[in-house]
Amino acid sequence: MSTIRLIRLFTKSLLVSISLCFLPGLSVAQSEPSDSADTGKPETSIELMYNEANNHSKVLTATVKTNVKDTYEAVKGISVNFYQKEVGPENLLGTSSSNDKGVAILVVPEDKLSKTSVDYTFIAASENDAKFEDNQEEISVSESDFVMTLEQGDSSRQVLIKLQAPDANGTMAPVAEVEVRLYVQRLFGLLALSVDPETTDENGEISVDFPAGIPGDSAGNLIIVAKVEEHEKFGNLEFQRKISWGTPLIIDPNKNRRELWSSRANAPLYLIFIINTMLIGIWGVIAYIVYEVFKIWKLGRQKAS
Amino acid sequence: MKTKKPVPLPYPTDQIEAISRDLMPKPFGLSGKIWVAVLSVIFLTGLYFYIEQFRFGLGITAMRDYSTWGIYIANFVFFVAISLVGSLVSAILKLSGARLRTPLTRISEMIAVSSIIFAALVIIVDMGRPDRFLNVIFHARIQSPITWDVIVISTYLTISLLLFYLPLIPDLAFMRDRYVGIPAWQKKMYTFLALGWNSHPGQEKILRRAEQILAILIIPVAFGIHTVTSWLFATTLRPGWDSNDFGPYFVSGAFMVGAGGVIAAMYIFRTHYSNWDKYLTDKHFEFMGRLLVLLSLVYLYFNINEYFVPAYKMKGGEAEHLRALFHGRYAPLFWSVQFFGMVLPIIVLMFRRGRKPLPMFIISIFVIVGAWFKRFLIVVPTLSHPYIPMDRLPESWQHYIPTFKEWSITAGTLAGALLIVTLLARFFPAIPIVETIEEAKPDHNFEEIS
Repeated sequence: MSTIRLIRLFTKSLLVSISLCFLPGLSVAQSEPSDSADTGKPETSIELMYNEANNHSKVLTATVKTNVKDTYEAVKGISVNFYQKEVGPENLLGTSSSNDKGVAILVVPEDKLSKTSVDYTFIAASENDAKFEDNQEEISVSESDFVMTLEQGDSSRQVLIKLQAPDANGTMAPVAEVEVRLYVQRLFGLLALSVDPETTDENGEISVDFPAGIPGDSAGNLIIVAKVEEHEKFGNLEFQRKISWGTPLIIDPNKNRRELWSSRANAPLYLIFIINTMLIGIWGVIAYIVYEVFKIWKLGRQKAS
Repeated sequence: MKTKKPVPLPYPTDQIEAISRDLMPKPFGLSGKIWVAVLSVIFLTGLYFYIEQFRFGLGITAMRDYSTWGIYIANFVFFVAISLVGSLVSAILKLSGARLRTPLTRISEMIAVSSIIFAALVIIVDMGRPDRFLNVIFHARIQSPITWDVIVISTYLTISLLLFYLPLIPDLAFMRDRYVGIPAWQKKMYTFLALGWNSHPGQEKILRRAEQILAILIIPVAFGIHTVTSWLFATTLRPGWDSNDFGPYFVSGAFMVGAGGVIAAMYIFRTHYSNWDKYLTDKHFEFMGRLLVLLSLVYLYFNINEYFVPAYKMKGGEAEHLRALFHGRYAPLFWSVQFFGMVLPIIVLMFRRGRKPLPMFIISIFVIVGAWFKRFLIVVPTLSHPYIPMDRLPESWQHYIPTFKEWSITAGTLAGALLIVTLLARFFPAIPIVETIEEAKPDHNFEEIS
């Protein structure tokens, strides 16, 4: 039994080692807690993500956690400085404080970004905090141009996606073999339009027929979202557009009114009738019994007097 | 203080004295005091941990996102189940004219009242915010089985209290008149509760009619309470609960554990009080033994239905749930409950020797313990096997192992229920005195009572 366990353990360790050696660095980076033996302050880990939405707003998201009893808990209210290239006051992009979930967010100011390079290195650092050890994490991403257009023909609706990035000469060139996922925004999340992601061709393009019959709002509006998720070079790219390609959602106020699944104000009349009849019937009998008990007491008093 | 003249009873005085001496509630002896002390300690320990739960929330339990119901709800179902014994003995046996029921009725009603009180309390214990309990009433959705449950539990509790109290009135008057050497407050309590009872023909007529009406009324309400409790499960789409038979399955199991509870109480009373073997005779045990076999066979039938049919199909999430019960992590408990809590009682009680008091007491303990864990097996494994796969969850959230504090609170409620039965038996006769005296008459007509 122990031999089998040893073999399993060895196999697992080998697989983990191989994975760690060959996995590329992602645009989601996570630091390991550092040694805090010098200060005695608890360590933190920082997860840094780069997001770009609709081809203009660049957002850095740092999630700060600390190890408490073998589980990672969010660090609330810690100040995170965001830098480009390297840590230093001249490279400071901005500062943000973490929320309840330990998340500090910075919209990168375009005017502070380097104009000489299309490759960026961003650093999130927690420094000189009273409670926690200093820590930092960096991420490298490249400039890109991610666009989604929506075309409507006589009988078809197409989603067109194009991904480009500057080549060695600085001119925009198509990027092939990048996975893009398409979604439709729903009330509580995103609905994927396909199980497998689409992949850009040699022109950096994807063309997808948009399915009919997806319920939209009252005007049939849908929000279509295209995403490149956690790409090693471009990070998280997102493009979303609102268009009336959905089926208008018409809620008939007379439908679904008095049903078992309606609100308490719309309970079915038959149910109200049955339950109240039962209640009145049974509690009426109980009230009668209590009255009879009262009569027993009254008879006892008469006899006594 | 002027002493009232006792209400005359048309029987030989020595016989009345002998019966009343035997059946009058007695102060606790040493064993009684130890019993009450042990129950009080368990109850207070549970209360202590409940206060902690009240302060810090349900986080002190092992209940998490998936196992949102744990041993509290299993305990609730158990209490509701055992409370049905009141309707079984006081109503069904009364209306069917069973002669041997007289010494069993009060014991059954004591168990029913204490169980239903704690069933209601356990629901509040299970609430993370008990201060919001009134919202269940003020903002009730009439479509929700939880609302029905609240309605039917409060109705059943009221009827059970009346069914306990009304037949007690003649005994209260009897003790008011004849029980000497008790504290003044106890005498006053009997006087107050006896409602001036003096065996007036009008009073007897009213009482008999009221008891008859209650006996009829409690049967549909008793079926209702446990059917609605079963619907709390069966109206949700989950493996193991998605069943059309849950109502009768629960009701039959409830009658079985209720009968087990009465047998255990009968044995304890019979051995604890001197001369009680004259009132709780071997015939009564024989009668209850036969009844328990019948109820166990009915419950076995529903168990076979509940497990065999889904096991034959073994579809999807249902299969995973059944595998966990049949040969997975719950298998030892599942098979122990099926064997010791159901098959073994049927086998033992089939034989005359098995229906003697001691073997029946042991079997009844198996039935009660088995019934409690049976409710655990109904509630917990289902929640551990949802149709939607568990994803990205801490390992500890995927299983439910109750915490020590949860066990303590649960044990506290069980001890509390036993404490109520004990205190009721301390101040009220556990076997009806006046009815026993009447039945002791050689020319007594049993049909008259039934």
